[in-house]
Amino acid sequence: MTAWTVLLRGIRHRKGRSLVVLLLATVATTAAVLAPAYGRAAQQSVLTDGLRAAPVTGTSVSVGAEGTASGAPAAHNSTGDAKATVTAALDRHPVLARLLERPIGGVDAEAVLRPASREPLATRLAYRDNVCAHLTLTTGDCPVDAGEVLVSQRLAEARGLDVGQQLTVRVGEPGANAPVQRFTVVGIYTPKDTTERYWGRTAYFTAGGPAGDTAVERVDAVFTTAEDDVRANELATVALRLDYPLRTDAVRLDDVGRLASELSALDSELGLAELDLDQALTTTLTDIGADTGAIARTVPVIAVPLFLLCWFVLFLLVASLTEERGPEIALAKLRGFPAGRIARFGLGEVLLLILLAAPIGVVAGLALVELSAGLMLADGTHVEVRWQVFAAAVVALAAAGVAALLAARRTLRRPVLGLLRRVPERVRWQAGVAEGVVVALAGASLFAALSDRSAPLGLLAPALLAVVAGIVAGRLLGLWSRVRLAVARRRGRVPALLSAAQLARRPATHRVVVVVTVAVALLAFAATAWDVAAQARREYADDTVGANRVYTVAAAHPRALAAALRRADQSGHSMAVVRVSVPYADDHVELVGVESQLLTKVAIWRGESTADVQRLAAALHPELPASLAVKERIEVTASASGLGSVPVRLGAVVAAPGEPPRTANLGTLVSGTRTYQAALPECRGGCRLIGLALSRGVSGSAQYHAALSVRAIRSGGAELAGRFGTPDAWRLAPGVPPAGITIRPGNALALSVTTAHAGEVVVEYADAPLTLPTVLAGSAPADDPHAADFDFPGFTEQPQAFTVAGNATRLPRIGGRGLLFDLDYAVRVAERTTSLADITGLRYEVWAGPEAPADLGNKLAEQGVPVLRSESLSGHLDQLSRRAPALGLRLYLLAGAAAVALAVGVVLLTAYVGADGRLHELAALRVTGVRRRLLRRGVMREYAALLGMPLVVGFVVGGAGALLMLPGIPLVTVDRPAGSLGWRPGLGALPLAVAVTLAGLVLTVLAVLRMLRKATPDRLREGVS
Amino acid sequence: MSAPLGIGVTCRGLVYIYRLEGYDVVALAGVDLDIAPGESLALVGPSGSGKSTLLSLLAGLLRPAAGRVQVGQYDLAKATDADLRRMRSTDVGVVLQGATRNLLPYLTAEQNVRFAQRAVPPQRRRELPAAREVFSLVGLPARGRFRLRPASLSPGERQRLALAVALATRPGLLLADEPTSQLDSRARDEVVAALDAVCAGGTTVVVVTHDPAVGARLGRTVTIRDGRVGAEGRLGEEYAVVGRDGTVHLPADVLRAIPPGTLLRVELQPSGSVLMNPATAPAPAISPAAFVPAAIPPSEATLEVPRTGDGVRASGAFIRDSS
Repeated sequence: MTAWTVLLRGIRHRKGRSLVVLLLATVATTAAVLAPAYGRAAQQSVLTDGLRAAPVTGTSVSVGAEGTASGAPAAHNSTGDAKATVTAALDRHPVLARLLERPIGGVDAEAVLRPASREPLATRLAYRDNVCAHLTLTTGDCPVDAGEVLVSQRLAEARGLDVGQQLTVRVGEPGANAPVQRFTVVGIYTPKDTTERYWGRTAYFTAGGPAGDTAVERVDAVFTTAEDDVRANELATVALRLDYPLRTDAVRLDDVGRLASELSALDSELGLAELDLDQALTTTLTDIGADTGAIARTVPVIAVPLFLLCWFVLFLLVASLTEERGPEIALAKLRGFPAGRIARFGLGEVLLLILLAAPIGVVAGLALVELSAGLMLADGTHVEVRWQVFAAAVVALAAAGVAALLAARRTLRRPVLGLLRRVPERVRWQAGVAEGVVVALAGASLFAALSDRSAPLGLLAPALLAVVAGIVAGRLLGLWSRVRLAVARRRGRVPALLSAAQLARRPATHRVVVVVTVAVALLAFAATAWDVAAQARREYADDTVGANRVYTVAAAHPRALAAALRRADQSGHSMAVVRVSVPYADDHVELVGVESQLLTKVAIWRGESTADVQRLAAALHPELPASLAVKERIEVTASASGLGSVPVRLGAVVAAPGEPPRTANLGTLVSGTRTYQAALPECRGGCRLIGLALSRGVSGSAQYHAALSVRAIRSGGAELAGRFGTPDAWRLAPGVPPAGITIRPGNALALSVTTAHAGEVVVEYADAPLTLPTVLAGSAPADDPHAADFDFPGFTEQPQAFTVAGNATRLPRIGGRGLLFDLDYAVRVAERTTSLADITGLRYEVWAGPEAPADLGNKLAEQGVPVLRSESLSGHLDQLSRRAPALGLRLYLLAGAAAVALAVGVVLLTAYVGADGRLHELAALRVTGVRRRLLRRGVMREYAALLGMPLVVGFVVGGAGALLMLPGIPLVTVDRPAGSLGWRPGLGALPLAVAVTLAGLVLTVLAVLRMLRKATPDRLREGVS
Repeated sequence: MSAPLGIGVTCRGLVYIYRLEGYDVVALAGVDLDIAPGESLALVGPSGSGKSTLLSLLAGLLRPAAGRVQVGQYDLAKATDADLRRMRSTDVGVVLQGATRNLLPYLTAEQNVRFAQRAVPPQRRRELPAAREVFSLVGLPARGRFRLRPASLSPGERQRLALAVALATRPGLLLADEPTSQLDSRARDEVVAALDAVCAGGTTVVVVTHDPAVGARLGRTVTIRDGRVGAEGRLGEEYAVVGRDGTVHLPADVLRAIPPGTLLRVELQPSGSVLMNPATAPAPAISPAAFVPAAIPPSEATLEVPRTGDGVRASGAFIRDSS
């Protein structure tokens, strides 16, 4: 027989206890492994998510050169040569070489396109590798030879181009004297997906608006498949660009540091070849680094308390088991075993189980992280088996071994007779010192938490406070039990007597109370934090997205967007939104135009009730007459009189959508009644009549006079509802000096003008407010922050009068600083002076409610409004739930659940380890005549006190810890602490934690009661166990 | 199996004090005892008299507070912990009260014996008897019992297995605490027979028992009373024992006649007997320093104690006026 036989038979003999030791040691190892494994996986998840969410510019590297053949020869080399140069450089940078995809080469240059018999158009003549694979050819084929090009469908439709037609192109800036190249249109394209990574940083599909400072209209790019076509003019500025998309999913955490350094080195090397490296990847990685850094700090702080709890539980377990094995150890001592072999005999079983638990714990930890990665982390995130995992396992193993040695030391050192008599030893001073240390640490962590809640010691405060609460609860329960014991003894109540005696005399009571209190407090803290964070994430997502879905789109101008949206979605659950950010006082004020009548249906406006939103929407859109729509031709019937020597010209100011307002000349006024008319060819699709204009018919500065009675305005065969009899329906346009000008309502609009004003005297139709009603968030962007009326640059970038119709803490999607107003009115105001298509700072969005069509993005694209980016509330929430704070809290929740499982294990173990003695006691009591029912009641009372008190104290302390810590902990993003707690109770993690903990403890008590049913008198006979 | 060499035991003025919370209890108050190698001896006496304490001292499980105790070559008062462990692993076998306390419940009978043998230094293990021989020595039927666990054995068999485990290392001294308690008479006889066999094999056997029959079966009984050797029995005859300090424990019937506190005049008679004559006068104030213990020759002196009147105080021990 070997020592192994004794050891293995002992393990089998105590299989229940051995299993618990194995499980606890496994949990301890798992907890230790979790820190590096989960932390790593969470960091990788954040990195992958961050790279996936980053714009193309942030996840690609662009190498290029730009200039003329003499100024930048590299730009006029072939893309193949450039690729060879970069590939040679990348060979020296293995991480970059591995992580960068094959380059997409491209060459493009500004060009002036002149379709036959048409005005010139600005475009980019572009070559891009394999471009036809990324375009849908609606007509024709992909070019194969030089001199063949593809034009966009938009261009073809607008300019009547078709396959086979010739184009004259001058490669160079508009106005430059460049040689003419002739191209044949061989195909007409629409881009498959303009947001595709393939297109990189190019801006090939930006039709509309002038090209630069010229008046030449810009159209979509014209593609060739022969790059020499682009480089034909050596004097032209040619941009050669190689876009290297990053294999975002292949980027590992270890690559981050190397990436930055290799990019820096590559930049220098390429500079020697006159190639520029353009990348925002390092900025993207730095931004992501804030999140990964937060995880690296948070995970150990969460894992350490769990690991320490495991360690403590293991310590208690080994102490109990060794004490239970006291008689066996005494036997070894009695037989004269040397000290070393006694220790081996006494600890061998536990140490073997701990050793066995190490690989199981490693596998369990890795499996748990892999499971978490599959369920919660970014797609493609997997657990990484790294040396740190094994190092943590070795540390856990060593710590478990130390716990076992410390726990068994007392028993192993006891003399034979002491072990045989099993007289409990008095609590020694070391326990008091240990408790004192914990209390001191808790005090320090509390102080740290109050100073800076993000400090590591501060983050340990909830766990340490829980330990202190456990210690206090244990002591209180001991005191309470002694008092109850005295009372029960006086009154002769058997169940109370038994339960109080058991609680008062069992040394394990104190430990059980500490462990259960700590575990429940950890879970309560984690569950509360999770619920609060979940709510904060929902609110953050509501505030950030602003609607159920938001599409960022490319649109020519606000009216084009609104029109396309109406065609794409007739449900009325989506609205066009136009935004612009205006710098103001070292900050930005966001201006948002919304379709206010749809605000209630679409926008998520946290903090405002539906009634509030309705009220604000109504305030943004006061009743105003509809605009006067004109088409192709306008006729004005008017009577003129009082004309002087200076001829006076009558005009109609009209605005075509997206175009600046234009005055159509109706003719020079002549006395008497007559109809003045003008053709409006640009208004085939409909224009808005801004007003009527009177101006001097000849040059000079002489004063002119006119009295005009406008009787009717007709367009498109119908008379416009000019409301001439309504006061203020017509008014003098802003900027026109009012002196000598009168406007009188009546059957006919009576205008009297005596002025020397150099410009036009515009009498505008009052279909737009003079001051734009707005909902203001934050202070007014004016000298007086409380001003109710102020001027501020509007959509036109010109001062616009605003009046505060309402105030709000925050605006949907905008935040706490911005102006929200009605889009239609804002456009009407802007159109009086400017074309909004010319304003480059406008950003176009479509906000959609849950009832809007699910494929709204596609429908918008079909209507010529390509979607650049789409966001959704659920997607944003999903993304937030994978940010560092959520990942940390998830681990906290996991740790809390594991802690409660450990506590249940400790309760069971404490019951089972002393089971033989307890069963003997109960059996003896039954022999003396105590009824089984009374014994059962006694046990139930005992466990109600043993578990009830820590349960209550644990939840209170956990909740208090949450109250203390959560306002200072970033709950949604790492850069923003929660600030204040706005938790609304609901069905979340906390009620679930309460229910699961209660169920677990009740089941534990039932298991104990079931075990104690074996307390029959037979047990008192020797040899029965 | 070669016969073990019996180990002798010598106790001189052996004192042991249990130090409890707030007070001390003198368990042994000067025990003088000599046990010859190969002798079998029963320690008897009332509960709490110190029998088990004496046994624990002999086993090296307790350290004497005073006095000397020699077990074979070991002076237990001076021996180190390692010496004591070595002694128990090779020279002294101990059977604790209650058979199950001596056995590992998850090992078979044979494995329990082998477990005890593992305490012996490896170089000496070859000299150890086979488990079968040990079972044979204690009268355990080997067939079918080897592979049983203690719980599967009868109480008598379990007790003999406990004996076998204690004898596994072929010790020269076997110390057994109440080996026959909780056994029926048949099982008791089997155990006593086993002890006889062990003793016959040359091993010194010391048994603590309450059972007079067991004591009678062993060659010599030593009665421990109030922490001292009160009497000795040899082959059924009961003798008072004069301690090395001259003290004599009086038999119970004598104590009834001269209760504690009686003053005795002790006179050696020409016949060699000793006359203890209770004093009739009130006792003078006695200073403890005025008396020293009398040296009583360990001859076969007899005591004669005439009856006296009531109310006389006397010491229970022999005293002599030092003046």
